[in-house]
Amino acid sequence: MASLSSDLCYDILKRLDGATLASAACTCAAFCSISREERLWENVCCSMWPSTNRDDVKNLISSLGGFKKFYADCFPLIVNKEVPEFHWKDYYEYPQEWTEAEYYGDEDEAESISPSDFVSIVDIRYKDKTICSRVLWGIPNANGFNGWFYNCPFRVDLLAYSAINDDQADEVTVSLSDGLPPIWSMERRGKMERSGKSCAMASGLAGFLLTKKQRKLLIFPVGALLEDKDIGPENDFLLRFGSVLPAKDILPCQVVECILIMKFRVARIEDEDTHTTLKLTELSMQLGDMEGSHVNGRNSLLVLREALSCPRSKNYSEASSRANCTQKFRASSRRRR
Amino acid sequence: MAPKNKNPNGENVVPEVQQKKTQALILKSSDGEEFSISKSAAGLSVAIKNMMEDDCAGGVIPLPLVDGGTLARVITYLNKHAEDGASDEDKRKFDEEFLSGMEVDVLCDVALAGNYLDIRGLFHDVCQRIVNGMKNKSVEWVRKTFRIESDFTAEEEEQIKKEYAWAWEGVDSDAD
Repeated sequence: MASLSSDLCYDILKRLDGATLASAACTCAAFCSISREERLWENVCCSMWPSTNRDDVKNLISSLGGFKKFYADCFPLIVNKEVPEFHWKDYYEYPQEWTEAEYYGDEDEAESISPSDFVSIVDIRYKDKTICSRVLWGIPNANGFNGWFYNCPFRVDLLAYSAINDDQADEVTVSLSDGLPPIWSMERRGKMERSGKSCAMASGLAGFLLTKKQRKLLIFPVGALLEDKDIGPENDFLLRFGSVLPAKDILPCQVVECILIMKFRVARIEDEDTHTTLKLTELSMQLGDMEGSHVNGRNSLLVLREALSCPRSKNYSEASSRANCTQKFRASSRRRR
Repeated sequence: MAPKNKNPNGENVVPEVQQKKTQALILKSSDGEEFSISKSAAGLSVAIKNMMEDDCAGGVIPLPLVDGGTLARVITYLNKHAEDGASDEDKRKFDEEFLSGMEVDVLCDVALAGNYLDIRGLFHDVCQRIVNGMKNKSVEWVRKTFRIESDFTAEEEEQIKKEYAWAWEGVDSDAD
């Protein structure tokens, strides 16, 4: 390897995914200095989350410390690994860029966190193919009068309000050409469940929220699949992904789920029922408490603000076991009703 | 970047396209070995093609940056890819076998040659091969496999590993 020029090393490193790039960077000084190249990390981010290729998102990421930091912050949860807890304030890599007041956030500023401070960036993948990318600045309809937003259930509708690029279709569909397995009407239900599951597992989806003022990112990786069920008319089904956030001192239930909801409808069935197209009919994010009730806007903002400074775990098994607990709790509380 | 050899007089010499296919060309390695190769196969290398077009070499093209062993491998690759009957599937299979037997040092030499001779397909495949060998491996494993010597001081190493602490989960165990 020593014989390779730095141009050649760059050519090799630019083909690496983020984690491998990080480990290559630690092998020697030459790789280390090449891997500081922002362009490499921009590549890594864009191939993972196509939304990050948009100019507005790029500018945002640059203003927050660059793609390298962004990727490190977004690194997905790991399945079944015991990992030490990751603390938000442990990021000392770029301390020189922030004054202490900026770094820890001005208390007054933090108090006045507003819906316009949020950005949601979501990419949904099905079997390595991005089927939907949405970016939404702020929270729609949050500026209604009389505190409408603060008292209503918190919900960010990504499908209806997000700005989309011109080259994107209005409709988001998954069909045979995207690798959706053929579904026969006789066994539709079972198949649908399975394809729903594989959709969930394969979606490298990232939801982000951040506050511009505090220059901090709050990132929700996919989280665990909470629910996968048929709803309403036979042809609809619903997927819910969630991360559990602490809500101590805010809500009596202590924890809140941040849930990403995807609803699909079977849009077309052709060729003797085997060529099915699924259409995404809802993509939204909301917060729910342990019993599945909505959390209002005011409390949601408090929870999200809290989440900015809370310890973050990258432990997938912990995240999913907590989600399962929530799930069981919800199921039992429903039975009681 | 591959050097674009210019005719010393700066003239553009028109290649004899009709005769190109059957004609042979001599490639001379850094250690003086000479290899015969058809012009059609040699033309897959953009750098050699440019040299042929500039006709600067009079039939023998010296390649001072490629040793004999590496050149022999590159020529095997070029011959296969210039073969008339070979389907894409054949070539793909060949590429896989061609690269799978190579040690790291050889891979690096072939990567260098592929880059120098501007053979994009070969260069890409070799890089990809190297990259695949690094995926999900620990730092120590990558160092050992690719014979990379750490030139960090202990403090530097600790510092850099801390910087990338987020990446250390989920790597394969070094045992395999």
